[in-house]
Amino acid sequence: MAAHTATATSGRGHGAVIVAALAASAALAAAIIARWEAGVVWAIALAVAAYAAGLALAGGSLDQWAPLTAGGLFAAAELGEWAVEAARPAQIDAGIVRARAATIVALAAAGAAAGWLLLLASNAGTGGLAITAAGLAATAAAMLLVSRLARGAWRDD
Amino acid sequence: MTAVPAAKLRGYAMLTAALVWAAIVLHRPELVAVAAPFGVLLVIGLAATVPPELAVRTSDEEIRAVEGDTITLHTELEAAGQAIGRLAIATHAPAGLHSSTPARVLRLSADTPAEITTDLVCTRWGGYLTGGMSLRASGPLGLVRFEQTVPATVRVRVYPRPESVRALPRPAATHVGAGNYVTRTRGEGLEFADLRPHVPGDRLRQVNWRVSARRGRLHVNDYHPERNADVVLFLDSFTDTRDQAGGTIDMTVRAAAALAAAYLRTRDRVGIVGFGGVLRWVLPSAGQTQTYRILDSLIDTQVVASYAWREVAVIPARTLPPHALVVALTPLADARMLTALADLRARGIDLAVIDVSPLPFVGPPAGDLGDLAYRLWRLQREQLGSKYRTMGVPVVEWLHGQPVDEVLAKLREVRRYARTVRI
Repeated sequence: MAAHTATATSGRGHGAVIVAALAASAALAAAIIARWEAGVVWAIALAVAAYAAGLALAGGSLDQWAPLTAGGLFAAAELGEWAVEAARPAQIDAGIVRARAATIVALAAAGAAAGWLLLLASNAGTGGLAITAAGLAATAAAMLLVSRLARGAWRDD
Repeated sequence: MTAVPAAKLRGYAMLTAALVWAAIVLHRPELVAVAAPFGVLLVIGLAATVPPELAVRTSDEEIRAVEGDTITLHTELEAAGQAIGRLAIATHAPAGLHSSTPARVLRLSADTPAEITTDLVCTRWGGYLTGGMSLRASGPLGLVRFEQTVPATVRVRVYPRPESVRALPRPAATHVGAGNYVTRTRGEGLEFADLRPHVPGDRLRQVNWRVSARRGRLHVNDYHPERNADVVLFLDSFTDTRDQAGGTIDMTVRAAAALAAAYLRTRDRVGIVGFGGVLRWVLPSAGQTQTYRILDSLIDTQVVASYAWREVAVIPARTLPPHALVVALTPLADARMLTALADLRARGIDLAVIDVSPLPFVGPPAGDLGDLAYRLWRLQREQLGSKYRTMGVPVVEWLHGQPVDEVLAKLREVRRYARTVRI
């Protein structure tokens, strides 16, 4: 992901983006070694920030590889979390390992597909204030949905 | 079960929100595509999360074992209503029990009980409550974790490992009951003592016909009767000097268990007094049941810090029967125990002291002053032993690693040549 970020950027600030991408990779490795679960998410957030900065600096055309980048970042985050959990010695049923690996692959693929559909939709759109307002409203609605679902998951029996 | 958010729930939610807002602000739709997998995971994961219902049943309520044994705990888990995809189980083992089974992660099918076994190695004698475990069930995509702590309910009593004892210190006085000690007195017994002329009242079976025929008048055989004795084990639980390899209280308890079992095998009446911050005792008695009474009392032995002065007067009179042999096991470190031993001797009690040496557990402190203090302490201990020997009390030093049988043989030898003095 760091390499893709580095190739996707050019011009002013190119060096800073590369440094940020490399720092994200190092942070991910450090978080796994230190068994710091939240650190994995922070490292991915840093990688995403580097990618966003790279896109902003590059300008121009759409990055067609963005869905694959998304799937890769997601897989890195999930595998990082798994590595942190696996560092604790435990006897794990073989079926669990297979199921978890399959889930990660399926979610990464589904996420990449969803991203690809979103990119297609963005190409078809004409833009303008109405579309932006609709996007903002959809974002807020999505946030509300997530918080509502989270509250539901919190209920204790 | 208590719901706990995983670190990634908050992290992914913030990341998704930040990416979508950044996409709008920067006019880069690629960022929405990057946010998509994280958003998909949040929506699916949270929608599918339902708090699990888990029933935990422990089958064993009380287990008895000996040091070094491996015990197995059986626990039955059942998920009611829905399956649990990932359930992490970590067993809590108290100090003294070592869990040789690592934490486990397994899948629980709905309404199908699963039995898990946990192996615990009993590394030290004592009474323990175990069987406690931490359960952590992950939600479908790991966004929420449900945690539950199962309290420890299984009682485990670990008895000291038996040590072989061949030669026991012989009590100076015996009891009227039948036992294994051949006494000096004459009476009914198996050991031949002497011949004497027949007197009215002697039984016919005592007549020695061969001698009677030779001497022309009736002679009978005399025998030494076999008697038993009272033995009281007097344990010092005021202090414990220990390191990684063990401690004086461990040695004391193991030796007491070995002595009690050996004396009970020879049909003696054995009692126990735990003299320390807490006074414990078991009245002298004989038989197999007494072995278990004493062992149960021993495994509750522990050092309870106390600065209160204690004398032998606090010990119930029946625990120290007259003419009983008192075997004291002490590191000779606490003034209260030293006074109590002197007091027992002054009362004319047949006393033998096993000095459970704390020296192997304590090295000399650094520096010249520390070295000097250490040497002074050793000299003080030697002087104490000498003082007891002057009082007619045999004192035998027992070092860590030395077999208890060797110490008892030495004590038996010292008592054979020691004279009982009246002071």
